[in-house]
Amino acid sequence: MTELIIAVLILLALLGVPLFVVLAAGSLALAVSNNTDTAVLIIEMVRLGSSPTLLAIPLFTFAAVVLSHGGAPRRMVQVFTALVGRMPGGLAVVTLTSCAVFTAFSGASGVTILALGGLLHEMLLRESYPAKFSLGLVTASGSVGLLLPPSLVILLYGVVAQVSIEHLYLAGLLPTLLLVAMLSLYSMRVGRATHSQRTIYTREQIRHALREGIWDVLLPVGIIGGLLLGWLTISEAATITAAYAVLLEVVIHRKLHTRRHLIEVIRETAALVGSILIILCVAMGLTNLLIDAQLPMKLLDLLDQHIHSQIQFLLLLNVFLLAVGTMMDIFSAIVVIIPLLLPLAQRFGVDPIHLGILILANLEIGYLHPPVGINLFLASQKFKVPILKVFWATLPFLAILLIWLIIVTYVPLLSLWWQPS
Amino acid sequence: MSWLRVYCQTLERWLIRGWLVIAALSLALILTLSLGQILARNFFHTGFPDADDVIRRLVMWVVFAGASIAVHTQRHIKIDALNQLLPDAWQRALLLPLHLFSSAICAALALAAAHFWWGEWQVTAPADQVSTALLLIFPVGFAALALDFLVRAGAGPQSAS
Repeated sequence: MTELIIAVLILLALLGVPLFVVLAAGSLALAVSNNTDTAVLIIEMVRLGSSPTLLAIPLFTFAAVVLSHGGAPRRMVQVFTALVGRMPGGLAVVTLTSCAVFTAFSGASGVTILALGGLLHEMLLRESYPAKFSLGLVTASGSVGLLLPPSLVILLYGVVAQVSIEHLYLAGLLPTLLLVAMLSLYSMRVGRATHSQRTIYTREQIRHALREGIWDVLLPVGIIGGLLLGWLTISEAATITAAYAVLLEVVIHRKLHTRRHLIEVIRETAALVGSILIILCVAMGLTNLLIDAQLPMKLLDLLDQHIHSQIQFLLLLNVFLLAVGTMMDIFSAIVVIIPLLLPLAQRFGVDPIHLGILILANLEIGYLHPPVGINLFLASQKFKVPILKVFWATLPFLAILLIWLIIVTYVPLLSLWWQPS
Repeated sequence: MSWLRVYCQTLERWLIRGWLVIAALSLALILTLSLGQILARNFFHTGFPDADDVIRRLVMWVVFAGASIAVHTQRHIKIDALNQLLPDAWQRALLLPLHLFSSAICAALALAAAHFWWGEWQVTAPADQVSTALLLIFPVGFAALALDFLVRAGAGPQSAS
């Protein structure tokens, strides 16, 4: 009977029933079959709603939507181009850094490709970067920055795994810097080899770009600084970011001053927050029921028979997560998989903070991975290029990302450098 | 049956407007109260006693308002790998049963939430009544989602966005 219910739920999910409904149906079925009161599911939701860090998710999302609608991504591109455009391969580095900062705010890399991809792709082609390289760079850049503050996926991992979000942000800094450095070096090499033009701004243009965009660039600096120095809690950082974004776009730049703009911002924020957190609400109840049914213990027993070391476990985890990343949205993957993985990781001595970084790194690479990596499809649609061509274009970047993933997975110090030895 | 579709589409527009107002008010209150708390704590070494509790409850109001809007704008996260492979006619034919199923599940959760809320309300001390009253969003939110899926089913395949 249980197998039949699971099969029906999988079928419903594949037919397009929203994931939160599928999870809710599973929870209800499990509760009824265990003779458990279904109010237990609601208790878990209320418990989730009492989490002090949950507040950060709607506020950071609101800030990201306000900034995005107000044109902050374009202003950031201008600032970065003014600062590093004159380097060999400078525009490629601009692409990487702008996308990293924007992805940190938008949380989901697919959004970055849609919001910034068109502009940056056109700029790269204009400066005579090879078409294949430009396509690959813009598609892959959407994967950078997901571990930087105030990334939503980090927040979500922190809430689900109940670990310090400030520590997770600290842990994500060095891996992100390493990834940006690795991709920048490759891009600069290509830029030099193909004699791509450099984007040289006049003094007046630099001044203009800085005047327009400096307040946008200072925002992530302020958040990272405030969190690193312990001046702000995560909820305070989210509140200040949201207020700052409103001040910037409504009062200073006056980009969002009509009722229509505000309605659009509220609708976008609410839909994003609602579609992510309703899954989390429902999954909390399901997870609790699965733990009551001792599923993690059964998985642990199964693993114990075949896996005997941390390295073997991490290798298996990488393969499993890369596969999950190609099939599932990153938000739902975090909510569904992490409660089951945490006890297994503890058994093999993996730090939960390091686990978070490597899980998110894996899932993010899954976005670029065939057969169903969503970023490949988004780029294919956006640039009207066959999917296979997008895949070939991203292949060198995928190789770099996989090397980076190996380093992040097997060198925990990169994520845990801030912990006392 | 075109009158039913027109009726559902009109109702859908009103539902979206209602949820937008709730989302906007909740977000504005969350931001104002949170900023007020930061200022009060840092400059006056004090804070509003129940503000943190109210803020947390309001987050759930944004969540349910957003989830309802996401039903009408078809923004809910789904896998739908199989659905993409089906012919358009099949996809349209599946729309009604799948939405009815979603509506039924949300209705079941609404019942569970109403049962939970009533139990909580009966043991709530007078001082905590505001906080418990805000928990009404769970039964109301799930009941609204059940209605949202029904209306969406009647409004046809075109997204309200």
